[in-house]
Amino acid sequence: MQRGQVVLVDTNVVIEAFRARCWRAVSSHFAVEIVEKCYEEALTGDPLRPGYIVVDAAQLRMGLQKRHAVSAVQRAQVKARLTYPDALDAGETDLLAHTLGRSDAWIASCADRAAVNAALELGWEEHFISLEAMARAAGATPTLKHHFTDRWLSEVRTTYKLEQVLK
Amino acid sequence: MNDLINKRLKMAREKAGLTQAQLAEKLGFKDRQTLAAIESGQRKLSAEELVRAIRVLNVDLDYLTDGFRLVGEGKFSWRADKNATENLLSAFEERAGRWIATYRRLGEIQGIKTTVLQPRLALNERSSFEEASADGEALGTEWGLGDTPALALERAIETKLGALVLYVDAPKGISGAACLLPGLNTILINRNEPEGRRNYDLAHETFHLLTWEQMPPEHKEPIEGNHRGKGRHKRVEQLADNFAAALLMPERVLKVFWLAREKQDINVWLNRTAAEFLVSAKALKWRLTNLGWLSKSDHFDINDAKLTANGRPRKEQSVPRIFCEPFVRRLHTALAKGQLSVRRAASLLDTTFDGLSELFRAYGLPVPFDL
Repeated sequence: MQRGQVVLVDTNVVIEAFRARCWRAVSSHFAVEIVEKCYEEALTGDPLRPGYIVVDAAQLRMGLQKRHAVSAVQRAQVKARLTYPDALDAGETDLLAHTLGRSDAWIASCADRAAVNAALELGWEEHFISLEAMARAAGATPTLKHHFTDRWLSEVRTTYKLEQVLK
Repeated sequence: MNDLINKRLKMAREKAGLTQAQLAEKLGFKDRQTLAAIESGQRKLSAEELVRAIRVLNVDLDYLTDGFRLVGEGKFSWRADKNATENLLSAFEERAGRWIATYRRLGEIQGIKTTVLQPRLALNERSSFEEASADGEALGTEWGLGDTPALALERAIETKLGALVLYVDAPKGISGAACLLPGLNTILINRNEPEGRRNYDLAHETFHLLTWEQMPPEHKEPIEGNHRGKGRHKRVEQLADNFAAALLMPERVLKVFWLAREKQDINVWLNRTAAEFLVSAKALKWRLTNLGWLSKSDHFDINDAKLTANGRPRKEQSVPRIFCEPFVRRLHTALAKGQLSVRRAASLLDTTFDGLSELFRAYGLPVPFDL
């Protein structure tokens, strides 16, 4: 994976990268981009809640190459194309909406089964990368939760493809 | 095909009072048939058409695309005390509507059919209290609720009425609610109430679901049997109370306890017997009064301050698990199959990822994500 490759990340990926302490490595190796809603979500939450992962706003900002605003029209465009337009949260929807208008060689990382299914429905097949693969490319070896591994992503993609064949 | 958007487009058109021909023209379709095909699910609305429809119909994007929200659907009737202001009820109704819509939407996605029938009791405002009681008794027998109907009532409501019973953490002052929603009537119960109160609410709200058409309840009704509303409203609530009491305390079973009372102190007997039926001692007192079994001297001996039972003794009562098993199972399937994102599910339930994990564990289900 080339240094400087554009990678779009969602809220879950940001939080896990901070939890597993690989944000700095990943964000200095890749050109990490995000949509505004995911940025907001990553910094929201109750810090007093047990298990709350602190995402340092300054570190997050420093690691991001770009933050993208998403318009209502872009949102409508993605929702009109999805079988289940209401299955994702606002940040996940905005990430998909943003990619509809991109023609460069972006790749993206998300770690939710419904989000991956929706992305595959939009034709993202060649655009996925796991956080594990990103960290590896950046020379880091964090211990990650299952949804952020190559294996999980591969399983979800295979299941999706099989379901499409069996439909 | 995106059935949700098609259905919602039709709802929004009807709400706006437009004919298919009128909306078709505003959307720039060449004929009415194009819109008819969209509304019936034969043709998809394109992104550009969706954006145009939002502007023409003056609705937000979520109105047309969010099935996890009730849009002008569902009528609620709350059992609440004077602490529950209209603002509080309105805010909680918004949340409750989300839960109900979530269950319905996941059912649609998972291909689970809902009932198209709406069972009704043949009662109306002119019915007597005796008739309401008789229907309560008869329904308990028809549903096979047994000698302690409170134990089997929730399940019967789910299976016989096809209704949803949700146990929720409601703000102080809200005891429960009935929600009339075609295909998915729902009863909400504040799970932190005592057992006797919960059971009584369940039976009382069942009455409303079964008589809504002919006797629509008020948006807010008082908790205790102290119905101070206007004539008609008071009558409906009293009928509901009589029905609920007879459903939970069938005469044939009550008679056995009554005959075995002998010389027991009436207050002690009421508390013990109420615990057997999982109701409150005060509800039992009124049931006996309505049956005409309590004598004047019994009434003289009854001290309401001593009627403390509200279901089983407090230490034997447990708080029901939040929501209900069908709800949690449907949610679990959705997350396991990627029909709903975990973050979206957490937001719909006003909880966190950890909160969702705890919910599944409480129902003995494996946590379907590791995020």
